[in-house]
Amino acid sequence: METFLTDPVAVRGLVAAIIIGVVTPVLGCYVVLRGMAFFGDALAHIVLPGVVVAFLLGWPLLVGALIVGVLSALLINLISGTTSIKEDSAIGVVFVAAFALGIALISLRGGDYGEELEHILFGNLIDVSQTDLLVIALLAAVVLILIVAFFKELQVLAFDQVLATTMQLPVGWLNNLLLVLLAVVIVISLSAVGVIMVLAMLITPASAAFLLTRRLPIMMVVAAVFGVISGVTGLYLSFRLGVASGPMIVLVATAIFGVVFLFAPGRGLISSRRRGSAV
Amino acid sequence: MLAGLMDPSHSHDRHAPPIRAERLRAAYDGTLALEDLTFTVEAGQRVAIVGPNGAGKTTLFKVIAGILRPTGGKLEIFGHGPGRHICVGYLPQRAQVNLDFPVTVAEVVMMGRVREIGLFRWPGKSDWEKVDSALERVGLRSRSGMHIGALSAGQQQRVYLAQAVAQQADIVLLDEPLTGLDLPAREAIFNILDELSQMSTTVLIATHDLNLAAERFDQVMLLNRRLIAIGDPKAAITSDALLEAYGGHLHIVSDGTVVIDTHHEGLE
Repeated sequence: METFLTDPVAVRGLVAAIIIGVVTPVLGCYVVLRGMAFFGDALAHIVLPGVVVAFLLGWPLLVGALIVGVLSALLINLISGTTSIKEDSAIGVVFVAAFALGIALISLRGGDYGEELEHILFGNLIDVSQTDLLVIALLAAVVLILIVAFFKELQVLAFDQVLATTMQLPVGWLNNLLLVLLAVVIVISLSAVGVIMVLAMLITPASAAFLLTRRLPIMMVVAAVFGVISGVTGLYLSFRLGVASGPMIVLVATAIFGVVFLFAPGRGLISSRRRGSAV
Repeated sequence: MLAGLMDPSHSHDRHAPPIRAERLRAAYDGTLALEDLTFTVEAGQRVAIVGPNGAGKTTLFKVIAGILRPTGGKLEIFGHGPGRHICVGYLPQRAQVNLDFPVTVAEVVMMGRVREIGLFRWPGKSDWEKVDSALERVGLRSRSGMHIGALSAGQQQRVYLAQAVAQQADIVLLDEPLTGLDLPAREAIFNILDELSQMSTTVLIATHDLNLAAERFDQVMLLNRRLIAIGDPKAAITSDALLEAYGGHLHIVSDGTVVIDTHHEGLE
């Protein structure tokens, strides 16, 4: 543990893990409550070509991912709003194509891309630079501020879209806001868990928190606590075992979910069985 | 800049009736669901809207609530076009509500005040007082800290009524609010509706239950895409009107009892 905390590279990774561990599960609560898991996963894959193009142009990777992520989030919203194609099919078409484009771009470039690609796909907190950390912290702060500022409107929208519409809340605008926040959060999570496993950070801590709480603000706090524990423990384990950070973080998050799933009072597997109403 | 997100709501013309429709037409999923409806509802009236499945009851509510745009004719809410009104409370059919959502009874009621509170503000003391008194009115003050999913179906309906009260809605639309409720739960809801109309809140309810409409409402509207009759129950519910509304599903037994065969439409 001591060598872990004296290594500046590890400390940067640790700070990033804590920031990501807070902001991603908090927004993830809306992803879980609104059943947007597939959308979140798709968005994570869609940002790949953005990352690659940014890399080829020598831009910061986060910038490329952010532009592509936000644009495609808004684009998917537009497509599913104007055609009769079901939303999940439209998302599926777009996201696999974008992912394929990203991989093709990486291959076209040739040369040695193995390690870079691996980091984008699976995440590596040891790789976080000073600038990356600053950008991650800044974006995370903006996301958290917006989640708090629009809390009551986003809550109504998640609970009852008809009520939000009847009360003449700006529903379309709020939905777009949520999608943009989702894109931002996915992008800042990339360095920790990578494209393939961002979804775990979005929904696994939030799902565990869902089983334990009956109020949204508390669900968000509990999700953030689980996220931080997953991030820090996962990073430490990856450091000790010499494994990429992404898989370890996801495994710790999943272990927490597993324990909660079994033992959650009232809604866990065991107490459901006791009441004779197995899930 | 962000304040412009919310369209300014219409001020009320207090002399105008809560709802006035003139040759109102509306389409739902591309098919015409309402044809040339002309009617007026006065303040504090309780109107039961009766008609077979697909008669356009829900479409009418959505148009009044500003969720769906009319495709023709005119609809005025307190003298202004639909939409941009925050005085309409709409309780859709219950199936649409997610009862697993992590939210307390009081928080659900507070949702009715979100628009009134405005962007970037938190509910203040007076907002919570309004929530408390709304819950008091529906007899659920003691449940305010409970999870919404822990209540019975009848209690949940009362929570949504409290939400409309907290919203200070002048028009309350209830879509099949009594389906699946037992008699005491129905009575509890009728008592709340009585209080609402005494406060000159206008209440519209969609129901399949003709007897109920006849017994408990000031006005009955018979609807089957077109407006077949509207008026006090005795005048509106005639056998001719019923035959027109329900067609072949209507059977009038010799002693005057009306039987509506709804099973063909998969109702209930």
